[in-house]
Amino acid sequence: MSRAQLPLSLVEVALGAVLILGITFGFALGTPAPDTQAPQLSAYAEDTATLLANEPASHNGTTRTREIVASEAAFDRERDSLERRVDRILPANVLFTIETPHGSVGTPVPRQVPTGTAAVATGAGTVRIEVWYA
Amino acid sequence: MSTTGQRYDGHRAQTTLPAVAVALVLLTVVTALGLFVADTAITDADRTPEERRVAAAAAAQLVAADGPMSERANVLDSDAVAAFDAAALRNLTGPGHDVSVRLDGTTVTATGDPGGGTTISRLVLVETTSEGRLTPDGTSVTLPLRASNVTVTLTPPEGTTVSTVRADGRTVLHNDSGLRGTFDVQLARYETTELRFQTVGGLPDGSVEIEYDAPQATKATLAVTVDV
Repeated sequence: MSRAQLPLSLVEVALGAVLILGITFGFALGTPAPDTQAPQLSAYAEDTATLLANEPASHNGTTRTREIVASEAAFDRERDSLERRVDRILPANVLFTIETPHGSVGTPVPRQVPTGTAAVATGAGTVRIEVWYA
Repeated sequence: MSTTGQRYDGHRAQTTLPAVAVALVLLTVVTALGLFVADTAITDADRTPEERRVAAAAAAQLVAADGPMSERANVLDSDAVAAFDAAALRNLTGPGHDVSVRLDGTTVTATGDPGGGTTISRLVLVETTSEGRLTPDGTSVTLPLRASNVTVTLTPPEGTTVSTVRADGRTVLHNDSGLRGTFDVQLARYETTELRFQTVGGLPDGSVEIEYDAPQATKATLAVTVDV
């Protein structure tokens, strides 16, 4: 009895092609895109921290960062002016949040966005600055 | 059982030589395509790390406290910015790169022409210093915030002795037999300072003159673009 059969080589080449294309897609889709935002955001955060840490405070004769962690009352008094100041320092498309032991200033940090952070240690606690692209 | 026996004695479908050749060609083509795609993906992922590294390092050095244009960390001196030239920039980044430095969009200096390339921005203050002058009425005077390089010139009239100058209660100048002439005074940077003169005898207006540098800072963005 004569039966038509698919040559075995062609079955093999189909399987081989599927295998190799599978690996190729792994490369094409699985390679992570380079992270170009994080270094710039870290630079922004560090610059903001440096500028704030070197600015004279408006009341107690220390620096701005030292003043906002000095006490709850000082933080409440300074939070608006701090927010204005940082808003002016950072570019318009960058949002920020500043965390102190007495509370935080700025926009809440969204989840799953690249951010840059910087911290300034002062005598009364640490001020942490986090920035991200709007 | 009988049907199975039948299958093996008749015509058998066999792999033919042309089919093997076609399969081999197809598989080779697919492999080559796959390698090409993989290579492209890896090249893309490795996108010019050298540019980014040079730009980040140069920008970090420019804003550092001991950078070529710096007054303090992240504070640039406007005179030093004007004096910053291509030779100084090449000194900083080394040869072989096209680098430009811009301050708020205005090119400060450039080596070559980085058309595309990678840009790193830093936030800085640019400080311009203007000279201020004060002649106190009476025996005390308050200096503006951030006044630096303070010099006090004392020319008391005959019969008056200025023995002590105090800044916020701290003695900065003292001489029992009288101070006369020009003195440099070091002051704290973070507070407004009140200078107080302790005298024997009257101190008429104009016998004390104070000169200081009043810095004015404006916010700016320093962008360093590097094209390797």
